[in-house]
Amino acid sequence: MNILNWILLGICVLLVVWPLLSSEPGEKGESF
Amino acid sequence: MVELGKFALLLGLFLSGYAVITDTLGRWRQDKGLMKSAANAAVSTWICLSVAIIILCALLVRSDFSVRYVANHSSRDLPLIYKVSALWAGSAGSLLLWLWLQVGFVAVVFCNSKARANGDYAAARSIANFVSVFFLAILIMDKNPFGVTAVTASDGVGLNPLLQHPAMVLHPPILFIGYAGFVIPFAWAFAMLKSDRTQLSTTLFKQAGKWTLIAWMFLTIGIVLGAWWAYEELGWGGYWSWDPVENASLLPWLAATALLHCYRFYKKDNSLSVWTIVLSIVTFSLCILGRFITKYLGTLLASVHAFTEQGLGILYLVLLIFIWVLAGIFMWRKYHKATISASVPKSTSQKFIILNNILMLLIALVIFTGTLFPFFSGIVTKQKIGLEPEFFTKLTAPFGLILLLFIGICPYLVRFGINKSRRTISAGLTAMAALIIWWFSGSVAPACLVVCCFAAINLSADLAGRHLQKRGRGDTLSVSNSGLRWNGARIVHIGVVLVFMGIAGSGGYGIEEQAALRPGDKVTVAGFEVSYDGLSADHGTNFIAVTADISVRKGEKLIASLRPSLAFYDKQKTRTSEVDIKRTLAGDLYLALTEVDNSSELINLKVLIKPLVNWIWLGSIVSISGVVLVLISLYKRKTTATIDLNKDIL
Repeated sequence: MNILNWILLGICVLLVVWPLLSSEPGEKGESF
Repeated sequence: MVELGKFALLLGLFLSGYAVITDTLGRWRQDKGLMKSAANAAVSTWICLSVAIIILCALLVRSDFSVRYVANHSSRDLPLIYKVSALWAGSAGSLLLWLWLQVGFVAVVFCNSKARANGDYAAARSIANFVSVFFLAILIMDKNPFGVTAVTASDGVGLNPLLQHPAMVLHPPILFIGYAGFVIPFAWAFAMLKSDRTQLSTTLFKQAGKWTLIAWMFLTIGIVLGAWWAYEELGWGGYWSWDPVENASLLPWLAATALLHCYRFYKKDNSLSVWTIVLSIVTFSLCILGRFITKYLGTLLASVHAFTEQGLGILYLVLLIFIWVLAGIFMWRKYHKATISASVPKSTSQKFIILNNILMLLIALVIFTGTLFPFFSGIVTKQKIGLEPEFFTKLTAPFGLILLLFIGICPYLVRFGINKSRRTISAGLTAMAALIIWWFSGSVAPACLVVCCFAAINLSADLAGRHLQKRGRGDTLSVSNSGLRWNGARIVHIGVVLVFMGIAGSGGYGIEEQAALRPGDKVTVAGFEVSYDGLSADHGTNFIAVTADISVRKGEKLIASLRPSLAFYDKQKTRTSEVDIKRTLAGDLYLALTEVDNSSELINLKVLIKPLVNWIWLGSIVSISGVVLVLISLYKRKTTATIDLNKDIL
């Protein structure tokens, strides 16, 4: 894997993992 | 670069799969973190696809023929604009573009700050991402655009010369915006089916309605551009040949048109809920079916579009079956829980809308059956039986005429119902007149023109009547949202009537002559004296064109100097007829070269008179302008609602 692949992977992982780490455990979602 | 492209696609596949699972889980557990993560995964998928598109574009521009897709669809001498448009010239590139647009729609509508942690949006997102998973899997397994060749060629095969036309630069991407946009109502329909509430959300359907209109607008522009390309580039003088690929774009357009008429009533109550949900799923399914027909059945159905590659196209059919089985299960579950009931049209207006929908779907059914007839006949009789374009014209014409009559009278009937008013009686008389004219003339064109006149007069009277009413009230300066929407809707329908006038005029009253001419020869067609003055040669970037100099006179007056040509593409060993047209609102004088003998300068010239043909393009522009007005009214309504809300807060 070259550096560009790692950068893309890093951005995506950060985007996906960040909400899991930043939200309170058991925080409820809403609906209309 | 190629490795990054491949990796981006694989990562996109993984992320969209992750989004489906996480959204389903997050919605089930009502977990905000999971739903937000899934929304971000969808956005990340779009980032990956953007990277893949940029890389493929760069490979095409750099003419990197080590990549199979570039070698098959581009060449060194291709103008830059066509190198870029080669991105959607092949099966893999066009699927990548569609997917990028589709995921883009999902990211914009379902992953914004309001939607990220919402259960209903999560349900919509999960089905939309599921379709993306399927498309990505087909793209990677079947025709990876980043596949490399064993031996790098010094030059590529080049782009099909027929696709080297400005309309073909715009037609596919605009068409794909339409197809991709229908994922929004489709996903909402599934979200509604998954919901356990009895009262389905009108907020969600308003949003779905807006996006359906946007997608419909792009699909319409795409279809019209395709027709314009056929008229300008194929050299046969027509714009629609009922080709399977053309029909594939018309099917979702018809279903979407029916769907758009349903939203109006959904806002008032939920009586058409099931019907609206089913139509939303049907519309997007027909987009997928279109892809299946284009990329899998195209060669089997002997389409004139020679851009078909079979591969794993059958997987689209698997996806369709899965979607309908899933929709059936959700619908049965919802019906069983009594949270949904069968649609019962309550008012007269709703009954007319249902009737309009049935007519639209009947036209779609005729086109669907006719398009797939060679395929089915091949299975049953082991012999492909193709249907002539007349089959489609004759069977769809009666439904089209009824719909035209409806355009003229429906706004009135919706408000007042069938009564003994002047308008209802005039509609009846017009229908009778049209039938009699059709019967005696043996042609549908004059009957169509009669009904068009009726519809145009009524729509114009509606517009003028409303304007005068407002002036009477001294209300001319203010343009309310509902007024804008109302006028926009009328303008859309006036545009449709103009299109029908163009179709009837050019189809029913066209004249065609074919003549073999030597320099100095003349031929007279419908009062036009067409003189052939001589041949000349032109050199393009990647072709040589032999051009005939033609003077057209009416009486003594020179009205046009036209230069139709035959372009020879050496690389592809093929030629295209580049037509030249004298355009007026009354009609076109269309010249196409079919044969040229360079030594004797003998040419075979096709001369066509196409009355009212420009009304098709003009009517389309009018229709699109109407849609833009409706969209502005929707945007203004949203802005006004926000301002009102801020006022309340202050």
